[in-house]
Amino acid sequence: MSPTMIRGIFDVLSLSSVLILLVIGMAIIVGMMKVFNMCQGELVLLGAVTAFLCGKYLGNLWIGLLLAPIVVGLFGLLLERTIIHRFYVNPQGALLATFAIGLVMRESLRTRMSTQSSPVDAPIQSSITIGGASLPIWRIVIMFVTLLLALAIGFVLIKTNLGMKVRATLDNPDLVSVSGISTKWMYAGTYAFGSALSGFAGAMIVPLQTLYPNLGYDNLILMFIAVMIGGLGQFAGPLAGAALIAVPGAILGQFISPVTGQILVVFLAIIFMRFRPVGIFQGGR
Amino acid sequence: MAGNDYLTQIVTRILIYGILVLSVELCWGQTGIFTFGQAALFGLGGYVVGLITTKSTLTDIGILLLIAIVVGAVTGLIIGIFLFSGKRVGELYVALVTLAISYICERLANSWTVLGSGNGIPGIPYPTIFGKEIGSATGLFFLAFVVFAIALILSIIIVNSQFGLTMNAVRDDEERAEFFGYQRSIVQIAVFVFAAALAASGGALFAVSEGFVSPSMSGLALSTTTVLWVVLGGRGTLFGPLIALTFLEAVNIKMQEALPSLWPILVGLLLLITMIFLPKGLTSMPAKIRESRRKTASS
Repeated sequence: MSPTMIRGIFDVLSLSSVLILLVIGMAIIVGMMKVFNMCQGELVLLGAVTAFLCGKYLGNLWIGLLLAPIVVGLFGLLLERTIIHRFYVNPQGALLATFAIGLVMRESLRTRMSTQSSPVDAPIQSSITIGGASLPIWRIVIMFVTLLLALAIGFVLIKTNLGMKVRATLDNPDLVSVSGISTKWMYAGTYAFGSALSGFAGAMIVPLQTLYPNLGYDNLILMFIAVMIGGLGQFAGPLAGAALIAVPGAILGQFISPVTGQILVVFLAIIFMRFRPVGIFQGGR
Repeated sequence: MAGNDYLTQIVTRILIYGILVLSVELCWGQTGIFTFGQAALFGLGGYVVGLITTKSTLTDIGILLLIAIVVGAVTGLIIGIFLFSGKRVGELYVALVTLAISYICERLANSWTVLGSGNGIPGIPYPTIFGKEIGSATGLFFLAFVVFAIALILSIIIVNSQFGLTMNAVRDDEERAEFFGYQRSIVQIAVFVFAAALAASGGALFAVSEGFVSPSMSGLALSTTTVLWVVLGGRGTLFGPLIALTFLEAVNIKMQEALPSLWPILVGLLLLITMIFLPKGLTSMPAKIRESRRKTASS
């Protein structure tokens, strides 16, 4: 294989793993909880900000990677207990309220930033050379982290007692609550967990891009489409959906312009969703 | 006179956005079509006019508006048939698709060189009517006023007609409306086409009165701002959203001089507070206060 080809394949894998990583948090909140969380992009952003601040003031992005899920998780918990829980019965209201939250977060950051965007250095800067192509190690780390994270969460949700309680709560809250489990805190905890994952994703990917206020918002539509393609009501579907739109988008992006490739994929995804609203990975009518 | 011209321009812009607000209110407020992409159609109208006036010598506003309306209506018909014919789709799907359409349009406008890429199309000439140029701020104001008035009167007639009741029936319960024998998809498509034509005509007016079109006029920001005006004003009323638009745009201009960066944050907070405490919009406040007074009086 020629170096350009290796590089091309690597780019497709890398771009896909970034989108999957971004979607993991959303798979919990939108996919499983079915809350149309328009501020998901800003949770990613908050994680990126945390990493940026740690890099700037502590000089160590590793601490940022550790702190980002904690900070964003706690923020998500606060958000759920103050605002989100009011809108479980009103999906339209949830969409608008979370949109408002996202707007406030995004614009708050804009007022605090003196420049349009700030670069963030990856914790590992070096590259390795495979078959003549130079591949940045940080991108490889992201691929593996994404894979491990998805497998670990899938395992927790399916195999552990806690995961079962979470799934039960989202399936049938009334029955769960008469079984003596606090559905209130199950919801809050699940939302916080989804937030923490998005925060972590933000901290991981910010070195690949730069920190700018629309970092999360620019990815929001693609993230939503990934979730819808995969189907609501489950965890794995949205991740597969992310792969399904990221891979063709990235491949097309190598031949035609990345913008046109992405637009084409979004367009096809919309048409697909019209005819299969439950997503690919769900049986049903 | 410069100050006066400035004020006239602002009022003109509010009237043009008013047409867009009517479009969203008819879709969402009256028929329950949760559209997040009306700005895409607004931008479509603007770009059609921008392309025609810069590539040809045609400047007659009547013909330009007609072309924009036809293009808007046809696009609305295609999207409407796609979304509403046949099997019912969820309102959140509609929101997501319209949002995605807005996103696609902004990206396209930003990247296609035919459409001027990121710069948009500048230098759109003043429109003419019967061969005479409408070159003054006052002239443009009257033009916007006339189109807005027609749009408002048509909207009032539609909402208060038998068809308006059917629209509300579809909004309140799609399934029940279908059981009663109403052609749910026809109602939704018809409303969407009309709303699309309105939005496109608003975009056409925006192009000729501002003298340029840019990708942002078809983008997410304007789409969501329009929804915001409708939420704040109270969906289901024609005048609430218009009042909210006027008020917010007026404050917006003052705020952009005083606190330019704080304004979007305040708008977000306002939307959030409204969603939590007054889901029917700020214009429902008097009724709500009256109600709570009555409750305290009777208890």
